Order: sequence, then structure tokens, then C-alpha cells
Amino acid sequence: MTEPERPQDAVPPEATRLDAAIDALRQRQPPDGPSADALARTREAMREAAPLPISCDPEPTTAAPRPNRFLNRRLLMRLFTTSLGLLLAVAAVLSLSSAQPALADVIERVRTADSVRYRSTGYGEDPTKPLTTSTTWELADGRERAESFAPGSTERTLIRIGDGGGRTLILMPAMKTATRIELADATPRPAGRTLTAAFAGIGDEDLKAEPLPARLIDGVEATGYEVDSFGQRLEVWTGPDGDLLEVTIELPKIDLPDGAASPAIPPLRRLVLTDFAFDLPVKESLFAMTTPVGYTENAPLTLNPMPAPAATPDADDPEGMPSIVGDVRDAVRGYADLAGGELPVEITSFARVVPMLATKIDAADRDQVEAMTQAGGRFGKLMVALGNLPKGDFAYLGAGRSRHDGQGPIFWVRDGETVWGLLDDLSIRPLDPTEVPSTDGD
Amino acid sequence: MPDWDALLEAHRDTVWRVCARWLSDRTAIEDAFQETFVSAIRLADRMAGRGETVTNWEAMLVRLASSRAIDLLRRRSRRPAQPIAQGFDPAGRGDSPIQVAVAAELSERLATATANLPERAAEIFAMVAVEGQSHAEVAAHLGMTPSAVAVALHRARKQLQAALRLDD
Repeated sequence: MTEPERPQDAVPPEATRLDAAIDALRQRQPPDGPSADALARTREAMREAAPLPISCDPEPTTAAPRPNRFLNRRLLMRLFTTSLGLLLAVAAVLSLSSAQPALADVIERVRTADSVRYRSTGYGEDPTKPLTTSTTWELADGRERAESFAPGSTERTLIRIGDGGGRTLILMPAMKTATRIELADATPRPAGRTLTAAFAGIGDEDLKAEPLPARLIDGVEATGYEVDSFGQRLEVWTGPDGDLLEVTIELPKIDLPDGAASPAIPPLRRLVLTDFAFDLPVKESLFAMTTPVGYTENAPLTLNPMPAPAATPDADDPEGMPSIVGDVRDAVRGYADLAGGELPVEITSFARVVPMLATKIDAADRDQVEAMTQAGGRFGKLMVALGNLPKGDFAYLGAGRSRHDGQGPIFWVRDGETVWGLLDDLSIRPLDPTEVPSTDGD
Repeated sequence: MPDWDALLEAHRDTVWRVCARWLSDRTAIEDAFQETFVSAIRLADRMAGRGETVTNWEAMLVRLASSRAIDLLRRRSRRPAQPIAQGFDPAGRGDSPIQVAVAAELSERLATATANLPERAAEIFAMVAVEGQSHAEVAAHLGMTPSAVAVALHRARKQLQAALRLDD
């Protein structure tokens, strides 16, 4: 009589257990599929991803309706319909630019000014019709004040931003109301001081500015430079004496879904900054963060656009690695998870990354929205952390690359004598000097 | 650019099978299946931008499918497990019920342990040990030397052996 089989008899000995497991994995029988619905969804996703039209027409399908992007876009809208989003967007564009000898003086002028005042005009799709105008002051200590008018309106909106952009007071003189905006503790601080902060972030070495044909600005022959990077464009125009005449900034295009965009607040596509004045006397009362007498104070708004979670350690992380490498890995991993392994084009611009993230998400399911929020938060945290590092002490090399492409480090940062690298498989280790790729301008 | 629809038709069963090796619920398999083909389009587009073409679509799709499936497994391992589809026999070889159960358990443990490996190690293990690609093929894909692939595979096997032992 045969003894009944016991479970322990069926378990292979330890030495061969892995091979048995591999064999079992290989022999797994898949469920029937792919279903017609899965195929239809895949074709649709491929059609959207394909650079050229796919050859066939969509076949009749019983697939679930295409997921809408509203939830994701709504997150995006929340970012970009706030002054915070606008400041970040502007800073993002400007920070892509670089110095050129002819620009050096004007860049230095902006960087070293105790105060700068300028006029800002915002345009939408129609380049001839301004949507907003404002007079903006930026102070070296971080305070800012903008006095804005909607087109054709004489009603002013005053925006006063306290040091570092953490506190904002919005005054509506016509209605005599005051609204405070507070940023939650975990919220990354905005770049603030649109012009001066952006110029401070302009690199000195990686010059990519192209001269533009001269033109007259208010009767003065102006010399212009164009910076075109990642599809966004910045123009800086100077006069014969090297004075700053105009800065034009192309803002990222945000495609909002039907019904989500507000016709009353069309998205800005371009900002034109003019009428610069430096180091004018500052009247302190214009920057006071107290509610003026006679104003009714509305309930304060708390902005918490993105959480900034702590870096997640990996079991293989080497001892002594700086935490910022873990932050970069978390942000890049979050992006790549949503983007099919593709790495972000850049990591230092929150406002550039968030729209890119949104385009990677095709489903409005809760997990994806949560993942995008998490990823966005990590980039927000990164932007602040990297902004505190000296230029030249780190570089991101992942543009146009994908995870596991075998092309080596995607990020490095100097920590004392050690250069730490984040590799394409998202592992972290110290790099040999010969492994540190040179970057443009080095 | 290739005829994407024809590519989908030609390789759908292979990609489905690879995704199903690593994932045990249908929704996850479908997600990995879709992501694989989308990733292939993007990768081919980037290669075209560099003047390169894909010479072996099947090898590339198998690699992408493994990678996408393991990535999904890694992400989903932090969430409650989804129920296995009814009628889905993970081993499915007609062995005794105990052997089937042991095989199912082993394959599940191996999949989970692989998802916990560093990403590069997981990919090398999946391509060589599970999909049977040669060291040279995988080395060419990953821009490594065949000997570096062999070393990485050896280390991955050691880690997996330890993981399977610790799971007892």
C-alpha cells in the first residue's frame, strides 16, 4: 500500500528550491486572455502614445469607457490657478536660462538689487489682448507686492507676500476685504520673487542664449536674447546702455478638459515684464502684512498643494549616503512608475514636472491620482532641497532616458570628497571620479 | 515606424504569458500588458530619434513585460492582495493537489522575492533565469558585459535562495 503524500515530501530540498520555484514560475498557466476589452484599451493607449497614427481604425468594442482625466487635471488646475503655481511656473522657465557675456551685466543687476519694480502684462492665446496687468515689487529680503488689474477693469487686487513666500495677504480695495493664504507646514515654499529669484538661479556657465534680431522698444533699439529649452521660450531685451528693457516669458501650456477651464480666467501663455526700476526707496506700509483698517477679513485659506513625504530607504542603501540622493530616487521612481519607465526630463522644476506627470496618467482611479500627488510632492520637496545646493555640486542626467537603460548614473551629487550616484536601476553608491559624466559647461 | 496593430497581434500572447507569470490577478496582468506595449512605442520612438531600429521585437517585448510586471508587483506588494481569479491554476500541470499547492506557493514566493530585489538584479534574473535569454543578449540590452550579467545573476540567485529559505 502506498503511503499518502505528505506536504513536506513535496517541498524540494533547499539546494534545489530556487530552481523548483523558477520551474513553477515558468509553468504557471496564464488566465485566458487578453480579453477583447483589454486589447481595445491597449490599442487606445498605443494610439495615444504613438508618434504617428496607428494603421488600423479602432474596432468596435465593449470596452469600458475611456477613463477621463478630470481628477488629474483638477489637481493640476489647483496648482496653476494659484499665484503659487504661477510663481513656480515663471521661475521654472527662467531657471532654464543661462548667462551670456552680453547678458551678464543685466543679470547681475537683477541679482544684486535691493528692490526691483516692474510692470507685468499677461497674455493668453491671443498675443494682442492682455488678460492681466500688474505692477510688482520684489525686495531682496523676500517680500513681494503685486497690484493687479483685470483687463478693462479699474478694480485693483493687491497681493502682498511675506518673507519667503510663506504668507500671503490678498486685498480687494473695492470690496474692502482681506484674505490670508497660509502654506501648510509640509508644503514646499514657493520660489517667490518671480524675477529676482529666477535670475538668481540662472547658471553662469551653461550658456545657451541665442541673439535675436534687434527691434525697437519704445523707440529704443533693443538687443534681445532667446533661450529656448524644453519647448519653452524666454526673451531678455536690453537697451544700448545695457539696461533691462523687457523680459518675455512663455508659460507652459496647460490643457484643461472641457468644462473644467474657466472662461472668466483663461490660462496665461505669456508674461511680458517691462518698466524695470531698481533700488527705489521702499515704503514699508505697502508691504505690511496686517489687515488695513476698515477691511473685513475673510476666513484664511490654507494651501497644501502637495505632501512632501520622507525618502523611502532601500535595503541596499549604503551607509552615509546623503538623504537628498534618496529624495531624488523617490521622485524619479514615482515618475517612472507612472510613465512606463521613462525618466523625467528634469527634476529641478516643480512646474515643469507636474504637467509632464499629468500627461502620463490616463486613468482617474484613486491609486493613480494618489501616486501622482505623491510624486508631485516629492518633486516639490526636491526643488527646494536642490535649490539650496551650490550649482556644480550636482547634476541630473536622466533627460531622454529610461529606467534600466544601462547608461549609468542618472544623478550625482557631491558630498565632501565623495560623489554619490543614483544609477539607472535606481541603486545608490559612491562613484569613482571617472564615472562622473561631464555636463555641458563643465 | 512599425505597424503597431500588427505588432500587438503578433506578440499579444507572449506578452500576456510573461505578465501572467509574475502577477496573479487579472487587473494587474492587464495593466502590465498595456504598459508593455506603450513602453515599447516610446522606446522605439526614442531609438528612432537616435537613428536606431528595433531588431528583435519579441526579445524587447519580453524584457519590457517582465520589467513592467515586476514593477507592478513591487508597487502592489504594499497593498492588500487582490483575489486570484477564479479558475486560475498557478501551476496547472495536472500534478497532485499537494504538488500543485507547493508549486503555487513557491512561484508566489519567488515572484515576491524577485520584486524585492534591486531593480537591475530583478530584471537580469527574470530575463536569464526565467525567460531563458542568454547572458550576451541581456548584456546587450542593458549595456553591460556578459560577465557582469553573470555576476549579477549569481548574486540575485543567492539573495533569492536566502529569501526562499527565510520565508519558511
